[in-house]
Amino acid sequence: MSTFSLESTPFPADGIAPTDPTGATELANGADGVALHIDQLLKSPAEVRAAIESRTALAARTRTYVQVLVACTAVFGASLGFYRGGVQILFAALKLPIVTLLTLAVAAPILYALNRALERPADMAREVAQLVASLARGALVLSAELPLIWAAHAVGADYHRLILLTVLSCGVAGIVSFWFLWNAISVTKMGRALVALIVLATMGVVGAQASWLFRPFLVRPRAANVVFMHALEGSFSEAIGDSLSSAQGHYRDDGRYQSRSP
Amino acid sequence: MSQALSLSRPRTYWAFGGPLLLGALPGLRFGWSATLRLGPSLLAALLATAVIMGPALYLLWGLTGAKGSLDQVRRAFADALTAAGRVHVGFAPAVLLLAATVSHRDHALVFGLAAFLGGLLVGAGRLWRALQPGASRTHAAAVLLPWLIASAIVGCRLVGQFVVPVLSGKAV
Repeated sequence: MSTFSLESTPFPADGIAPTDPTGATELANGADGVALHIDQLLKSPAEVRAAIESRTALAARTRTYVQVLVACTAVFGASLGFYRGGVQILFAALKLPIVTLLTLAVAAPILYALNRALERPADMAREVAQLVASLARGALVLSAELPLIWAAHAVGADYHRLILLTVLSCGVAGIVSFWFLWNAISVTKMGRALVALIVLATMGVVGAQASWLFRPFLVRPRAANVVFMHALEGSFSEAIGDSLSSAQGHYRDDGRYQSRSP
Repeated sequence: MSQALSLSRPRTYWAFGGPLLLGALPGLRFGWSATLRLGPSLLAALLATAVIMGPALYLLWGLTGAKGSLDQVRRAFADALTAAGRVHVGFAPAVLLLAATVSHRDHALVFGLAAFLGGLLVGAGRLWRALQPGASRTHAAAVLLPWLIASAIVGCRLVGQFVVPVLSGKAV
């Protein structure tokens, strides 16, 4: 088994510059390369952004980050699935990576189109790498937050608290992810606010709708059956509307709103 | 001849293709007839707005003493429409996903129109930047902002006029 040697490839944070600047390319195909890319993504996001900008080992990097993204979101999904147990562990472990990859697939063309439209440097491979790296960094944060989910399981947190904890965890991961992307977009200052605003809004809407489509991720333990996907009904925006109506005392009954007031 | 040339330019395809695509995708939820008619309706609304409001921009630009020939303003306008078209095409996967997965087909149209507006917003940004060398920032804002507001009002009215009959099955 290959291990990551701290002596052969010093961390940039140690203040020791790598002796061979092309080392990253050589390492790209090996397990050491994978470890290096993950380590860089964790500790030196600025270097990752610079490497993506200079297209250093871009394909290997992107491949590694996709693997990280899938693995971390799968583990987080599986942890949510443990609340109900059984086949829901597998379902949630499959669904969360699908949602993330779907959001990525939709966001990449719009980021490229915006860069082209606003006369910013545009390169589809670089844009995909930036998005994958930002989502992978967020996924690493999600993985780091896993102990919170497990602790909630351990203390017997109820369904609603676990939902809140999940939303909070995903929110923190989303902020970290966006910060990475913002800095990557900011390499060219021109039009960055408009690009960030539109990409963020698109990813937010598409991510929310994809999550809604593949719900549920967290299922109550007493639920007799679990499904991989519900039939096409409602949407994320409608669910928010329902929640707001419920909060005002109007509840859904057979698909129609019922008011408490006469 | 020049008309044939302009049609052969790739940027014409971007400018025309974006609205056509963004209209057609939500139209899939309304049937084949709407799919085929919504795209041209959006494009017609956009072009009609450009034809009505474009000369007004040149006149305002010139009357207020800003620098810029008719050709420069025309080129800035064409660049803005091309940029908007590119963004419209970039939005296509998102609109397709959202339009295909929302339960109410009206929502699909809302997403399509939101993406259409997003593209036009980028186009407006591009127009702003292209025209700015001809005037101070305040001057450009004083001319462009009222013009953009008026264009948005005219554009929304035209989109309504072109799109609603398609959805209700009437002739435009």
